[in-house]
Amino acid sequence: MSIIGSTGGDVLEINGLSIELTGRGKTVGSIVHDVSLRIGHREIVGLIGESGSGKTIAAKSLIGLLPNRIRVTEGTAMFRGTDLFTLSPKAIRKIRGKAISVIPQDALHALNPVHRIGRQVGEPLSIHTDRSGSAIREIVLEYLAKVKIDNPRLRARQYPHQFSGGMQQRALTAMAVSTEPSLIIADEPTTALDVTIQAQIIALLKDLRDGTEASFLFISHDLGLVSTLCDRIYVMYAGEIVESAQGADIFSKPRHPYTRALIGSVPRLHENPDTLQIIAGQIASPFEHDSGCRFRARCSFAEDRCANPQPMRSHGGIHVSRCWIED
Amino acid sequence: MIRLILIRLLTFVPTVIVASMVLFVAVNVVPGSASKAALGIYATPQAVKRFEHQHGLDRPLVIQYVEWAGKAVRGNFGMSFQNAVAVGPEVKKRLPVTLQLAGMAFLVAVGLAISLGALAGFYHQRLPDVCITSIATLFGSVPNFWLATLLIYLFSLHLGWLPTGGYVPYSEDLVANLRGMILPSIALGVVSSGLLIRIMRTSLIEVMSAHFIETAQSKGISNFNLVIRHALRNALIPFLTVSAVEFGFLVGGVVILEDVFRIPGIGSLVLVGIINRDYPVLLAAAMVITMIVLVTNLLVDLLATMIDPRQVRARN
Ligand SMILES: Nc1ncnc2c1ncn2[C@@H]1O[C@H](COP(=O)(O)OP(=O)(O)OP(=O)(O)O)[C@@H](O)[C@H]1O
Ligand code: SF4
Ligand SMILES: [Mg+2]
Repeated sequence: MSIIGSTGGDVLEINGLSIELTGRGKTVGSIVHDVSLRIGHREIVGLIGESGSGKTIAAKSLIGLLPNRIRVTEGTAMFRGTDLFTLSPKAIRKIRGKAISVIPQDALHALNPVHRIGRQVGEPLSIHTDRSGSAIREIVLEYLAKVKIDNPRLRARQYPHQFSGGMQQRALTAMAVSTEPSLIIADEPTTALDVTIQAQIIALLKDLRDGTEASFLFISHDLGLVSTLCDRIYVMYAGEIVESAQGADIFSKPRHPYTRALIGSVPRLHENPDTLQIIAGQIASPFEHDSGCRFRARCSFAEDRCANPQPMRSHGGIHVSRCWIED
Repeated sequence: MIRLILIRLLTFVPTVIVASMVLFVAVNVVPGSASKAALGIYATPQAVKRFEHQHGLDRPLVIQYVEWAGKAVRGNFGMSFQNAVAVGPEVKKRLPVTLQLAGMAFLVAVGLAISLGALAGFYHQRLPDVCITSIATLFGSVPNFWLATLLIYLFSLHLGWLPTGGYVPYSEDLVANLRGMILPSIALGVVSSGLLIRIMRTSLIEVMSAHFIETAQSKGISNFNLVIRHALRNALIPFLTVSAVEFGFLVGGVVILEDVFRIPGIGSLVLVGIINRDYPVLLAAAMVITMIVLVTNLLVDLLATMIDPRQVRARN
């Protein structure tokens, strides 16, 4: 694979990741299947897909926070020379929140209601460094200012319920960048927020990208949002990567039927909303997958051969898709 | 914050008044006659009449209540029917004994509940949870006097480590005082902890599923600090409210255990009052116990609102 769009070596390289749901020691469902994904130094990589496609689970596997009964069954995740999946719980805890930080999905419930903002923002620093309390407070104020929270000194002493949703997301962002991580996983950081606030948070992330050494894995189900922000995009469907390409290419030259359907369902300005396509049907559940294309129950191009594993097709450069049909 | 305290205090006063009325009526309608108890069952009707008139028992209940309450607020609880001793000073002398016992027992109950409950909640549906939940059920279902007897048999009679009963004031000998209080506190506290352990467990399980716990985990926090810093404090808010209610039951147990351990507190005074139908004694003792429960409820309530910043702000 070439390394277009990357300015150095890879920060993260996931190869053949499969995650399964187990019950009484046996696999009962496939949540993520054979996912390979790489993130270069200072790249913003998008991971998009419908709700339930496995984006959060894939991201959580990297930092060892999979829910009960969900396990990585195959694959590697090389992060700065070590495979994250081979690390002990203690070793992965040292990386979590320091070298890899998370901006969580639901900003409005992600902060502890009984602790002050400043203390929560400073917590990764107090866990991972032996800086003094006052030194941490200074750093916290600096980062609160960086995420454009006015009057950080006062704000740091307040509680989450005194913050608006957008402000809480800013505080969480400050927390994620404060340890100067190599990788920041932003899990749908704007979905819980109003549209105007969403735009502000995206603008902030763009700003921060220019000011840090960090790479971003930006998870979203909003293709329109991701395409302007990301250097590269992976499209996930039912736990599998079905297409990946440079940010702009996904939108202008989508190849996979699912990506096309997804773009068809993105509302655009000046478009008659009546012509808006919604993908019919529902995402298959983790218990229903076979070795064939997971999209075929909803695909309008489906053929008999789609019941077999789809081939990987290259469309030039880093643009690849997994589908039986050729254009 | 100050407004919050004021509101609580304002609702506290009517609560006390209503409680005292209920108590007064209850004491007066219990079967059995004070005069018969004081004068003996062979007392003549004239003697009974004289006794009732002398103590104002022949007047309407409302008048009796107003007179009693008016004096009681000034600490005057009248004279005992039995031996014409002033009740107020007697209650005052016994109050610290009961406070110490109830306080120590409550500490045992809350200490057991927070530690075991949090442990069970953290290991939800795993071995420690199963064990602790069974223990909690056992604790909650043994009668306190039975447990007290068992403890006395084991630690006093069999092992000889602690006294079987009696009371030494702490001003006299603190060690002897504490040694005497250990068994009754454990007997009372363990029984009360049964419910509280389960409340704490449920409360912690609920908090552990909150989204902010995941945020804390993604910071790389250790499990111990996760529970201590992020789960426990949140779980304490609902726990405290229930523990205040449980404290009421615990104080009820004091009445029985003071008798078992021969501790001269308010509780044994209640028993004396009931047996002798000695209204002034019974009323005073029961009222003081009610006050202990109400004041504790008030304090716990204030504490619970204080550790929840959302409430502190909301009412300011
Ligand atoms: N704790 C869990 N136990 C069992 N199954 C789970 C659990 N969490 C997620 N899953 C399953 O894993 C699959 C992927 O879920 P995941 O949360 O990763 O989706 P997602 O792509 O992040 O969706 P969303 O956009 O809604 O956040 C879903 O089928 C879901 O039902
Ligand atoms: S493999 Fe077949 S079913 Fe799957 S997306 Fe392509 S055409 Fe549709
Ligand atoms: Mg998700």
